[in-house]
Amino acid sequence: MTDRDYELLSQYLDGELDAGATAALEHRLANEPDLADLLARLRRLDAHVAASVCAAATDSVPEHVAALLHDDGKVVPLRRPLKRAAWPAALAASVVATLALLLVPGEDGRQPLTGSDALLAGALESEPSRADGWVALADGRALQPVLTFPDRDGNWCREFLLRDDDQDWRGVACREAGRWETQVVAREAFLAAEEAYRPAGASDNDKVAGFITRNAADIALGASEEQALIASDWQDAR
Amino acid sequence: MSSLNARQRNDLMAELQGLRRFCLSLTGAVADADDLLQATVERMLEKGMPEDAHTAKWVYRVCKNIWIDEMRSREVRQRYSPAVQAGTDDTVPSAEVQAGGERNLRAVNEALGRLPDEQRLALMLVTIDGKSYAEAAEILQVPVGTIMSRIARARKNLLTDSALRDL
Repeated sequence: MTDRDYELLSQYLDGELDAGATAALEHRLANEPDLADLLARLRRLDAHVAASVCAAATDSVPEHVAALLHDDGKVVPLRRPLKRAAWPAALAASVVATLALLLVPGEDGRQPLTGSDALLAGALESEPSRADGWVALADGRALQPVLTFPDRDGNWCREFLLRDDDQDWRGVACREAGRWETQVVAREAFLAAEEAYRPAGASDNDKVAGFITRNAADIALGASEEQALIASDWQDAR
Repeated sequence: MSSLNARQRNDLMAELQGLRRFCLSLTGAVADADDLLQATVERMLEKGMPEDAHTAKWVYRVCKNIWIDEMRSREVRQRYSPAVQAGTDDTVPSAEVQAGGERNLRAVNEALGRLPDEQRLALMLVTIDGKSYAEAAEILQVPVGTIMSRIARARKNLLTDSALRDL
């Protein structure tokens, strides 16, 4: 393999190839087993790199550091990056298989989502992930698909944000037998306005992050990979 | 330029988790990473930043510069110690990690430590923190093409590292 091959595969993994270059590379991948094998090895490498860092980093920012940024006792909740993320496949490999949380009530006991939600499912089926902007659902809710990843059962899953009236939710839905089922959902605290604060604790992202950590079989797809997957009606064979 | 306004503080809070992972990729040990994170936040609060600057890009650059200019010069970092190294007090791998793939994780960390700093930084910003090549280029203040080639070389070097040939 040439250095250029490594560069192309790296760009492909990172979602940095344009559509034309992606198509050309995918044509080569279909016809060059050695190149496809190298791509698979690079994917495994990325998963191990992510696992090696995430295994040591608990993602909990030390309180004394966060406290430096507190302003007059107001606490700003952390919000996980919305861009493509990577998860430790090695962590996921040894954990419980059945976390079938079809419905997880919020802290106040409300049940925000059912396992099957036609409007949500329709949008997840066709809308690409994004860091900004919302997709309006017919019932007034707004959706922001965040990213797409494979789970350990071979299904595709998507993390999403859902805005319903004045409440925001973060969840994960997985596609099984052609149907999207919400697996886990938790309240999400966003800043309602630039200068407005909500108390820490209103966000319960750990449930969602924990679910992903336990169930993700690989890193999240890059933009071009996700685009191809949606175009194939989620039939992409991994 | 004085300390941060409310919006900038909020933006910085939103970056802390990713910034902490970046610190870990720089230092290789949790305790050092948290020291670097604290130093970065303190520097931001002390020096502030321009009103129109992008907080995330700015703070990553501050973090990188602190590491290069101060901590590294004080030889805090003896070497890139494996994040999942048995017996280190400040790295507590989960039972899940211990149960599976610990050897691989250690090998990966050791191989990461053998990478040139500039390759490891570029790789970590993109694969761990989810930055685009353009964002990583701004943070590291190099052309996008340089980021692309550094990441490709980093991956190639890792794959050809004798400790990782079985991946």
